[in-house]
Amino acid sequence: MPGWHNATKELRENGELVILGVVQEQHAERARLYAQWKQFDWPVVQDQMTSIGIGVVPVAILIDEYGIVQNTRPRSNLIKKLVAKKRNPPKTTAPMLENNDAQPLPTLTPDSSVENLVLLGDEHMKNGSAEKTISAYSRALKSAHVTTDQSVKKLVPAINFRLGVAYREKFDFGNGRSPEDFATASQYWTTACESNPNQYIWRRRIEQYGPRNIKPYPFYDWVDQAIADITARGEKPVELKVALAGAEIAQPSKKIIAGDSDAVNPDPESKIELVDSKRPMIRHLSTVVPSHVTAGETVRVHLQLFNGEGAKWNNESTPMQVWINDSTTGTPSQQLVEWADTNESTSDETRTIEFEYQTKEDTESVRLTGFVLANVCSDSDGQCLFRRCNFEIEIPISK
Amino acid sequence: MGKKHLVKTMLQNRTNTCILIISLILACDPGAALAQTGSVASSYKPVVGQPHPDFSLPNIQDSSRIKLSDYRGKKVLLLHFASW
Repeated sequence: MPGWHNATKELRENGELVILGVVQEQHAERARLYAQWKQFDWPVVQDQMTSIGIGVVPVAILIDEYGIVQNTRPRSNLIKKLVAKKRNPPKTTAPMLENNDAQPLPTLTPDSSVENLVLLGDEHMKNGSAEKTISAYSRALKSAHVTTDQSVKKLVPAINFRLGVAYREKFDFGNGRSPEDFATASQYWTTACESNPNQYIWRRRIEQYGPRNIKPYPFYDWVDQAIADITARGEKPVELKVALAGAEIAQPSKKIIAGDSDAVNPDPESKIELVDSKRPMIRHLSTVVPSHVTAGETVRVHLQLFNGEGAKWNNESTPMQVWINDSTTGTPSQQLVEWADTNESTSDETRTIEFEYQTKEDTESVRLTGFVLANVCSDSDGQCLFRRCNFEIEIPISK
Repeated sequence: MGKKHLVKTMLQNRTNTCILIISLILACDPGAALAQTGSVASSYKPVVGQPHPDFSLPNIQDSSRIKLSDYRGKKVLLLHFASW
């Protein structure tokens, strides 16, 4: 896009052309940071749900003054000629939306059609309500599954994708957010991509959070450079609401690299006392991306670790360790992961450990096991204990 | 009453009936009002000479809505991209 920005500078300054950018990303503020970095002075809108229907980027479309598509593959070196070309008024005017920004949203009724439920969900999403969005899309999906109308059934993949976006939004920002929301998003995205593998924007969501061997490029590795450049210009960089780490900045790699083949199991005989199963001080939840694979494929596992009620991480002692047990069904990229401590003596953040797992060609099911060792303090009596928390992660294998 | 006037009255009545039916449909399905202002396109391929569907989407800077048709009367270069 910087190429277009430079090629159209004169046309934009003369008022002969306007640029309207459209990004299909999950997080708008990342595109804002990019626009600030590249000093785009033209508007950019977010089409989070791919509602326009564009399935791949980048795409440039030249639209004339009457709203008619003039060119679908404009070249930057010919843009001046294309813009100067006189256009005749069309026989019929291109349809225009009415300005409905200020109108209150209608409530759902049992009679609402699938398409209208989806549109309603889209509107709720634009207004920042992931919960209402999920409600509308879920009803749309349920109705679309039971209908005999094939034109409505065709909407199922798009609804699955939208539900993935809405659940991830809820995971990042929503009221009543749950660690499970990310796993739900992964399931909807995986299902959507299976239905329509040619929709590259949908596939990018899986690649964004998935294993390195399916990544076409590192997604957000430009962010640090952008922040440094913007700061050097004396500006304040756009603040990212969701921190970047793990899969989102990982470099692509065609092979699983077991980087710690000589790692040693920190508790081979299970001597460290387990957390109380009734009131666990450590809890865990895993998200697998993609949510299921065929045998031989690789997944990225996002293991979220958080404190149970009335407990906090104690950061003054041995760092938290996560161990993945040996398995006969595949190979993990790492067996031992250590958590870098924070500066505070205690904390209660969710800690996400990421690793990849390559399943074997002949495996029929995968159930990974492992454990977490961590120091945790109880709020009630102030006791700090070193505890073990076992976990199991199922990786569904498609037949 | 002349024949011409009678036909005109009948056409007017038919138009009124159509408007009434459309209004009832809209009242039954509140989402229908939105259907007029958006689409659930699962895929779109722009075609030269065809109108580009209008859309209303949030500006990444301040979440205010921008419609493609806000720029009617000007040539627009629509750039679909991602920062990733």
